[in-house]
Amino acid sequence: MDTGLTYLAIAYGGFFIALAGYLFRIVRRDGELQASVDSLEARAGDNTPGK
Amino acid sequence: MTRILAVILSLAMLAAVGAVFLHAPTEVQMGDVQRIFYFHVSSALSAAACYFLVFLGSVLYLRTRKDRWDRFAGVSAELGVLFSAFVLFSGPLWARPIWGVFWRWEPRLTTMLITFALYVAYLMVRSYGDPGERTQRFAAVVGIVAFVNVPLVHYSINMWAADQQLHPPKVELDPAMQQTKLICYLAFGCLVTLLMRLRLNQERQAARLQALATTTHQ
Repeated sequence: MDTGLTYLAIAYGGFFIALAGYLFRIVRRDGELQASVDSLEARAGDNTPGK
Repeated sequence: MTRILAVILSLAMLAAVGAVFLHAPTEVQMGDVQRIFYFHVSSALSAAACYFLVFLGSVLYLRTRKDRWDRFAGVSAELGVLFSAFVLFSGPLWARPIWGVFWRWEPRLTTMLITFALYVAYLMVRSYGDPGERTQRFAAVVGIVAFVNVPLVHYSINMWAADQQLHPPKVELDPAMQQTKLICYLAFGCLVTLLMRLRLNQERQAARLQALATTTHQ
């Protein structure tokens, strides 16, 4: 394979891998935020008068 | 809105990749490796735009002391660093077959690396500083000062002697190459907008949660 094509493939592959990684990080952070919301809601439920 | 943006981005990215590999002609002297140019330059432009947004957010934070401007600056810096990292990754890959080396300490490469390091430092200030107004203020000052380097990257080609330069001062492009470049700019514009939106929503939610958790503890 031509050297130029190899570098081209690495560059574009790298770009899309980095982008996928960043999007994965966003999704994971979303999950963490949702978990925090759930835990706060559970705590608020425990503190409801009558419980 | 985010979903619509995601659909537009997907289409724009497909169009960009299609244009890069199918529409743009192969450059006569450099061959196929020149196709790195389209995403390399679009990333550099996106990074510069993000750094300008850091500057803007920092100035507005110092003027208004509103947290949203601090978050805006922080998210912009994160994206700027992401795009700069790709510029610094793809540049050497393009340089190796053309210049024969991955890296040369020529003005544009050096100023770009310094800019990248400055914004990594900015993000570290934000991450490792105590949460609160003092760190936000300090980060805003760093965000403003760091921006001084961004025009230097652009004008480095004219500011230093020609014999020290490897980047060409002006690039004449074939019309199909010009169209491809514009399609890539559009796709990267969509990408920056979508990522900004996603991360800003997240940061807003995180700030609300933090406030709520503090209230619940009291």
